[in-house]
Amino acid sequence: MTVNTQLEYHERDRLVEKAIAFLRTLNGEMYRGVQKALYVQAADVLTEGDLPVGEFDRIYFGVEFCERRIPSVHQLEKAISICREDGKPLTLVTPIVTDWGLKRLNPLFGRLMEYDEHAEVVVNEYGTLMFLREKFPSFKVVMGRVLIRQKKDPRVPLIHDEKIRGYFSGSVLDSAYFCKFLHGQNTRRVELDNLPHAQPPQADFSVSLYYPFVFITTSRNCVAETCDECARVHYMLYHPTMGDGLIFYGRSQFFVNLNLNWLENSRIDRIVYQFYVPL
Amino acid sequence: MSNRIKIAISISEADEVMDLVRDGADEFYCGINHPEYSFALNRREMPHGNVPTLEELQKIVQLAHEHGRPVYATLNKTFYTGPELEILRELIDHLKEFGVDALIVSDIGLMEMLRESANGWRLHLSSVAAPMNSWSVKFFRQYGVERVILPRLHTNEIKNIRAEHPDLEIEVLALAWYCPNYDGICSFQHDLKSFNDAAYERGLMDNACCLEYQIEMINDGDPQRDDFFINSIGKRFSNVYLRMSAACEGCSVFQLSHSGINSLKVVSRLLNRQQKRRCLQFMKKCVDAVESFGKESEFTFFVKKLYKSSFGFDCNNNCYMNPVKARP
Repeated sequence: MTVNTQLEYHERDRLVEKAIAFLRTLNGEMYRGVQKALYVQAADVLTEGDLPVGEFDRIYFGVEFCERRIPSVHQLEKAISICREDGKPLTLVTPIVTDWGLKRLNPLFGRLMEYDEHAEVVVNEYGTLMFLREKFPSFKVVMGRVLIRQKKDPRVPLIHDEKIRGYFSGSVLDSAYFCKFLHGQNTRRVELDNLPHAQPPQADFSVSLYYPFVFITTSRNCVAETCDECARVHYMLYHPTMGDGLIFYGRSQFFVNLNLNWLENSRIDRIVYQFYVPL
Repeated sequence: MSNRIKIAISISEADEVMDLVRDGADEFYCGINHPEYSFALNRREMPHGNVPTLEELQKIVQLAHEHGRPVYATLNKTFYTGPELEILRELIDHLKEFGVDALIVSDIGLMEMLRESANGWRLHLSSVAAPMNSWSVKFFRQYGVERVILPRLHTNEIKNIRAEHPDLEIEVLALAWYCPNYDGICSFQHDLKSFNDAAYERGLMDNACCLEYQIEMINDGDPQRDDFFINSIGKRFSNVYLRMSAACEGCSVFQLSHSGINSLKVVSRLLNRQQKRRCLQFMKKCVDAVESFGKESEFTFFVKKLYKSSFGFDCNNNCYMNPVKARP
């Protein structure tokens, strides 16, 4: 399926249509029991009226990659208020952080603790994990897709040899030692990207799958001059080997995979739907 | 008073040792090719950039030790599968026999395995593990890590980590080619070109950050071509992505030398010998000169001139640790 990303992910009406179409897909037999989570980076998005928030089972709130976009306590309070009103559980998503970013997360953790001491927190960086284990040990930690490593290069499907392609299809969950580490952290949920070439994970954890933006890489080099510009602008990188192109947004690069063709025989029980390219 | 910073550089052949020692290398690091495993066992693809055989590694270690230089083995893939860890188990025994001084590691599974085997290895944490802050350094120190090689952080962030961990060895990447991303978080694959000859011949399977992309800017949903912007971002992409200039922290040696940093790494496994020596000589001159400058601005001026004379082109302010702005 060809994706016209520059239109489909920045036109709000089409996004809502896509959300509804996606949700109808998930109502089929194959996806029975799969939770649907709606990911937002700002609480205001939940109240703008046209998102089918009611069709989702859970709200993911936060950012994954850019610590400069960590939401304020006020925004978190708004998200908590909406979730409480709608009776939906909230998952706080945290990004890759330096010490500066971790300081900004601290008051969010404090506020979240007041709301639900057993709330879910997605961590994408081991310092955050360490910080939570010491300061907020009651939170349910979810290992985010930055930490659950996969080989995500979009050119893998160009490899002809099936055995070699198989080498690129696994994840860190294939390592018993890493799984031992996860059990030691009392972690029960891990998060993955929706790779076209991935094999379904078989490890003994609940698995969330992000849809439709596959995260590939991030850096310190932000393509935007200012954070305001970043909110409005992204870049497409085209190359003959890169399918429909890479999306370069803020500091990170993604590609799009709209197919959900590997849920069967996997432990995936949650899909995290992102309307916009995540920050 | 500043401390004298060591310089670590890669090695892949025994007959490089003497030249690099003379040029100023204090420490060596290397990846190793496994004789029976066709995929890379570290972050650099085979066969380039790694010591080709165990026999060669043994010679390297012997020669380096004769000149008082330690050798660190790089086992820093972003993750290893179960079967790969079993291959490493055997390889690590050989490394121990040869007297390799430390392992540079990044995968938690590998660290768990090493902790379980309790064989007394000195561990250095690779930048591929992405220790981004003082808490992640604390996390990895649970595995007995004695040195941390920091990823792309600002000088102030490095100082903060040093302040929180005064007893830890800290190494910083000071000269790095090709990679504009956080290497450890990046999931582009470096070894694709080994597996699709036809595409490789056409230059299509090079490292993703080295490809020539057509770039389009999308502004508020309207595709457009902002020529000024595309020119500047394209140029930046070219500079960073197409190996036009190294990302460098020569100027930061001034602050780093006053911050208790122990070692600077010259990222060099994909360079040929001449390039490697040039990078090492440049970095050695920075480290040797820093004591003679009282002002950072004067040192910066010196380093930029030195960069030009060493590499033949301006540094383009392609600083490794500081964010690159898209517009000039």
